[in-house]
This record gives sequence, C-alpha cells and structure tokens, in this order.
Amino acid sequence: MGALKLPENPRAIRLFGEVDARYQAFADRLPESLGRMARLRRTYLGSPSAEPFKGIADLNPVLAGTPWMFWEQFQHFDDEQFLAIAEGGALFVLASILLDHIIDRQVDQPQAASLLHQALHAHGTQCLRAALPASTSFWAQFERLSADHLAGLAAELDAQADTSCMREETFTQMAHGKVSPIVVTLAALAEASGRPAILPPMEASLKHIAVASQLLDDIGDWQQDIEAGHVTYFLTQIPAYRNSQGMPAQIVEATRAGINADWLDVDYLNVTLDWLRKSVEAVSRLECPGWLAYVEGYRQLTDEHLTVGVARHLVRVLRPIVAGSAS
Amino acid sequence: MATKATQSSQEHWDKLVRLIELAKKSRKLSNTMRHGKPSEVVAALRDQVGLSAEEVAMILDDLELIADRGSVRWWSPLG
Repeated sequence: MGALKLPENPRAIRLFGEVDARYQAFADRLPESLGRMARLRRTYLGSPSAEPFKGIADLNPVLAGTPWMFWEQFQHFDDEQFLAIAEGGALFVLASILLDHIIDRQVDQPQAASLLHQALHAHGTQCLRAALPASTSFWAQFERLSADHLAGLAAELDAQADTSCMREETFTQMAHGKVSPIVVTLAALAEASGRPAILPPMEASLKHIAVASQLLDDIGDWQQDIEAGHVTYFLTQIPAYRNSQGMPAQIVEATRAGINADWLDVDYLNVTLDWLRKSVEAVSRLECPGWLAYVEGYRQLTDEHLTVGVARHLVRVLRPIVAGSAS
Repeated sequence: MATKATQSSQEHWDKLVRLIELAKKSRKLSNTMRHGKPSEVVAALRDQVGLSAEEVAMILDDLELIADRGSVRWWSPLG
C-alpha cells in the first residue's frame, strides 16, 4: 500500500525506469548546488534526513505514476511520445510539490528551492511542448489546470489568513487545485491519444480522491495542525475549536472534547469514504484496473482508521458503564 | 477488519466485529452511543447487536486493543 504497483508488463517496467533515468540526467545538467538539492529525498518528501531521492518510484504513486496507473488507456503510445509526456508530467508535478513546500515554509533554502522549482517547471513544460504542438487543444487544458492550481494555492493562503474563508467550497477548490498538476499529465496523454473524452472521468476521479486525501490528512493531523497554527476545513467544522481560545494546549483539549462528544472524526471519515466511492464511480466506464486497485487500497486504509476511531469512542462510552454496573 | 486479539470466544469476537461495523454504518446505533444515557446504550447493544451487559464487559479488553492499535499509518494518497 502506498507504493506504485506497476503493470505486469516488461515494457511498462522499462519505461518507468527510463523516466527515472531521465530525471537523473536532468539533475546532472543543473548547476551543482541545485543538482544536489534535486537528488535529496527531503526536497520533495520533507524527510529531515540526507537520504538520496530515488526518483519517481520514491513518490506517492499518484504523483508521477498516472501513466502507469492508467496503463490500459495509454500503452499504445510509442516509447518516445509516452516518455516525453511522462517525463514532462513528472517534472511538472515535482515543481508543484516544491512550490507547496516553499509556500508552507518547509524548505531549508527557499531561494535555491525557488530556482529548482523554476528549472523543473520550465523543463517539464518543454517536454510537453515537444510531445504536443501548440495547435492542440491540450494547451487550453494546460492553462485551465494551471489556473486551478494557482486558485487553489491562493485560496489556501486566504483561508490561513482569515479563517472565515475556510468554507466547503474553498476546501474543495484547494483540494482540486492540489491535484491539477497531476491531471496535466493525463490531459496530455488523452490529447495525444486522440481521445480527449477520456479526460473528464479520469480528472473527476482524481479530484474526488484529492478531496478524500485532504480530509483524511486533516482528520489525522488535527492536533499537530492546532499546534502549528494551521487552520484546516476539518477543524473549522468543530464548534469547540471555533469557540476556543488560549494556548494551543487548551485549544487541543477543547477540540478533543468536541470531537469525542459528537464522534466528528467518525463522521468525516465516512465523508472521506463517500468521496472515494465517487472516485471509483467516475471511472466506471474506463478500463483502469491499476487505478481502481490504488483507490481500493486507500479505501481499505480509511476503513481501518474508521474501525480504530469507532473502537476508541466505544471504549470511552462503555468503560464507565461496565465499571458502574460492576460496582 | 481486525484480527483476533485475545482468546475470547468466537461468538464474542463476532459480536464485537458486528458492534464496530454497526457503529460505523448505523446512524441509529451510532446516535445512541454518542448521546444516549447508559441505560439506553445497554438497551441498544442488547437489541441491535445482541450483546448482553455481561458480554459487553467481556469484549471490552479486545475493543481496547483495537482502539489502541498504533499500526495504522495515516497516509495521504497525494502527500
């Protein structure tokens, strides 16, 4: 769970390795200090160590692995066209990850990270230009998705500055914006395959899982979010959080009491499962077993969280009842 | 879902699993668990899950093991 399961196809495996090799070649061509940064895992994954970045296999599969997750739709491409789009899409997504980290102030060297972002974005776009002429409708999709990305990031900044901006529409916009750079790869592949009609179901499926993902993050990290002063949609749905004041520790306790009183984590884990169901439904007419297996793995994980969450609440409710009846 | 944690009887384990699954999905049971008085909770467990008060006491330790399970990793598909 969490790692990309490549199609059992030697060509798919070879192409995946080739995209990794191209990333390393890209890093080799960068100025030395940026090349070093591009080869560190923490640049993209936020881990504090100096471990090397192993390439796109190191990333969450949905980030750069969509050409393989929807392999049945795109396996007919010749190697060069497939690789140009997969490489361009991967670099474009890596640029967006880095931009996220820069905005969240999670990078050690923001100036250098900005330069690396610029290099990733420029080379990613160049790869896509090589695969798709300017006359194709892909570039209109590219503009649309880039605008969605920007709007999502701006909405997030606005909501952090003014909590009242954090409404359901804002939350959805933020989640959709986050996934837009990933959809760029699929838009390019759909256009190049001459079947633009397959993009909307794939895009909808990714957008639904993006909402589920953000919600699950927010539920799992609510305590750390309060401690870091980070406002999330989930937190704003807890009256006890909205009405609490004081030091973070006091807000955490008030919020915990609010979650426990109404089992709000359980409610929102169920909402997460609804979004995952929608993600599956969106691609019901598309052959994409790899993608469906990925969503199913994520559904199982969410359900496991739900099991643990429900068990915690049940223990809290039943323990005093059992103790009372025994005394 | 959960793997069996202790040597409680299969029947009790099945009821524990049923309790958790119902509490996940049934708004009726879930609401009683959230906001009901102790007597209402006991009645709901008896009527909707088939758990007697004695059986609740017997499954509580296993329930606690599931609740304390630290192996579930919070993981984002986009993170």
